[in-house]
Amino acid sequence: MIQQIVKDVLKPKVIEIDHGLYTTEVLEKLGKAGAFRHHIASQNNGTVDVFGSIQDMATVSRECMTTGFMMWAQDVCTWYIENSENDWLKQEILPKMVDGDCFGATALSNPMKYFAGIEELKLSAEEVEDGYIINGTLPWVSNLLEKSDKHYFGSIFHVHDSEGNTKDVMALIPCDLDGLTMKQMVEFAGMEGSGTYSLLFDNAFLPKKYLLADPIKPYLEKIKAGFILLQTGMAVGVIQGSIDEMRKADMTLHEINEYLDDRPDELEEELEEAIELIQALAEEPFTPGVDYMKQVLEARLLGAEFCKRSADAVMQHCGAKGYIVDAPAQRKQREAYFVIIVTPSIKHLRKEIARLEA
Amino acid sequence: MSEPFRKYLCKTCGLIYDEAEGDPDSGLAPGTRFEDIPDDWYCPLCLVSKSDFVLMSDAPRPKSDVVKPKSKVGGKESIVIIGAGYAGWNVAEQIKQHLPDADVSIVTGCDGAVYPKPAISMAMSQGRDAQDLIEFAAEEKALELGIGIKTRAKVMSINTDRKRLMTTSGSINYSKLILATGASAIKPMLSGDAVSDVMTINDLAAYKRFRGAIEGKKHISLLGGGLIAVEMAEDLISQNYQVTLLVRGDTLMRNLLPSQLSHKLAAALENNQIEILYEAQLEAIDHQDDGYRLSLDDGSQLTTDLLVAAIGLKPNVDLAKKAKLDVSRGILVNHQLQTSDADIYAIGDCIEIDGELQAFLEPIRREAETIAKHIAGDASAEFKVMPPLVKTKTPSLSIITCPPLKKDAHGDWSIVSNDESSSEVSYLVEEQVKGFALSGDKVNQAAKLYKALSA
Repeated sequence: MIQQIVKDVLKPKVIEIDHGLYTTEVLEKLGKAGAFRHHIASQNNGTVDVFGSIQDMATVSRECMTTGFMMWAQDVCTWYIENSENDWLKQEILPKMVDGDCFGATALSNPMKYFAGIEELKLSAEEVEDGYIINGTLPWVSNLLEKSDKHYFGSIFHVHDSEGNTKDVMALIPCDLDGLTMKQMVEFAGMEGSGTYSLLFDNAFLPKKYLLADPIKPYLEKIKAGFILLQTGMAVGVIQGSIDEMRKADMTLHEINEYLDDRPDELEEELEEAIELIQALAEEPFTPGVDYMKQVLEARLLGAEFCKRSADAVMQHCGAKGYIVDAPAQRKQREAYFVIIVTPSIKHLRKEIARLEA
Repeated sequence: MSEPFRKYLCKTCGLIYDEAEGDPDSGLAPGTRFEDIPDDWYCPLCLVSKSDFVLMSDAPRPKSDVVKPKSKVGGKESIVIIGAGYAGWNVAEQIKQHLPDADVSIVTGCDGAVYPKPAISMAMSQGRDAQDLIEFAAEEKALELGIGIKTRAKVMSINTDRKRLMTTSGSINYSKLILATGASAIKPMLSGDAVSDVMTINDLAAYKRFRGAIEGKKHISLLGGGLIAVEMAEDLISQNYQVTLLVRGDTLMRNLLPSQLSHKLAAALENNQIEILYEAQLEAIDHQDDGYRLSLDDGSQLTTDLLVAAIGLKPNVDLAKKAKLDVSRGILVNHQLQTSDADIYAIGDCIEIDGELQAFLEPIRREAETIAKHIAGDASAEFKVMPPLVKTKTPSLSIITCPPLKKDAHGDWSIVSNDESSSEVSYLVEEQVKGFALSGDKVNQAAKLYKALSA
């Protein structure tokens, strides 16, 4: 089913998407086919199957990782709602998001860096009786559409109350919120069709019914492993897609490609082992404790390091024909580098792992 | 029945012409057979002509006879070492001496820099910072030894059936594996709001953090009364820090020294302005002003600018345990340093042999040599567990000690000579010398006594 959508709907659009076409058409179809359902127990007969969602994301990312990235955004946004205690969101928004009738995103890059001591939190809000008045700027949130009443993203902000206390809370924010301006400030080297915007909050009032978590700490601990593990779907897909391109290149170049370090068969064997590792970790995404979290971070680090190798390998295997504009190889390379630098990046992961080990 | 559609491959650019799909942009309808394509048609991607296309077949590709000059680490014929501490580098060097053609690689989660670890506890008085201690960068040393190195790759698991490691940078094959995973500093169990600020030091990275942390500080507290705590105290006092030692029992270095020598050492340290609190059970560390408040179980408190815990090491056995190797306190090895998997050796601070854990440098050299000889085919190679010979880096009082092995630890220390300037104490089990401790001028007897002991 997912495979069919990739072949019929996604494949003809891949280059356009790479050039900046943002479409929800594919996401809608993937939603209908159940791609966002596996890890959401309330919509999946009570079963949490994080690996199921990873697999579908990988199937799509193998052809187009920009779309895989949007699936991840959608998957984590549903994950946020599912693991909150907000029944209104669970009834009104979650089923639609799981079905691909509305769209989810995540603005947790800055908060994750904030919690790791890398950046300051960029949004702050004043708490009023029935909501929050939010100010600040968030760079680069993806899978969004300007003024859309179907697009939402999860976000974290500092809150000051009238007595001068501060805390951090997390909420879902609709794209059509008054006081929220969305701008596409830069052109990226890849992932251009991912609906990525800078968000400017100017006294934007968010009703409390959108609250996801307060207090935030136990909630973040609960969602963290799932959040990170789901990203490996992008890594697995783009690596498999790179191996596919390397095999195609080998049809004419295998004799000379034998001189290369990372051959497709070797990478595939390693990829299978990595998938086994991810699958085992994804079985119990709510496992408490430092040891499990360290393994999750290490698996994610493997995903990124592996992307680095496959990005290099696919370019070298394909040679000049991979260097042509719109050649799959160079697109895979750009996509793979996204896995390397998206939060948590390799440097961020190394810092986190070192902190857990210290 | 028509023939199934076939695919043709452009030899120049790799474009695939699929008969089923045709090339509508050039006016070739889906289903156009390759032989029906006009000769003036060109590859839509690279513009070469039809004659540059070849039929794609599912037949196996011809085998290449290329012997691959790979730049990879590990392999099915490789000896792979996990860990780049003293033990890891030493065993790599020994193997290259005994087997110059062996394919050897080190895989490590750290940066692999080569540095003399004992120097950590005397670097300050030698005027060296953490960076000064580095003798070689990992790549430099690897090149010199002719081995492969992979740094910043953490080994997550060992698949002993397939003889493969899974690391954070991908999988690595081995034929023989050597675990040199070392030991970790034990963290004290404390309460309070500053627990995460307690420092431990057992590698260069931690030492670097420590040196950064003490800058501008006045008073440093050391938890522990063992070798490392005492050496660190001496090194700190040499730089005019105020130092307090929080000792759990009633003597210093009780596992290494007879009480007579402990007392002498304590007197020398105190004479040198180091404060020693005995029977000190630390319970909590909390922030106070710019420093910390330490609370002991007797209700007393003291303020300090930094707390360093040096209460011992525990072997890093997690990886071995996960691989289902036999593990007790350390990774269990035989006298050839083999673990319960004969293709996996272990060396250094991570091992347990004859019930002994020995976190000292001296045995590592002999362990490394044993492993190298054994891998080279010398079945008689055997590592003999000896009591360690330890020279403490304590300028207040020079000491060399050779504490008994655990199996011999049912005897008693017995004074041979003891005066103000020097001491000699023997450890006797049924009249037999199983260890000794020397201070002052007597330390120059150490080599002779050790030789007699090991004979």
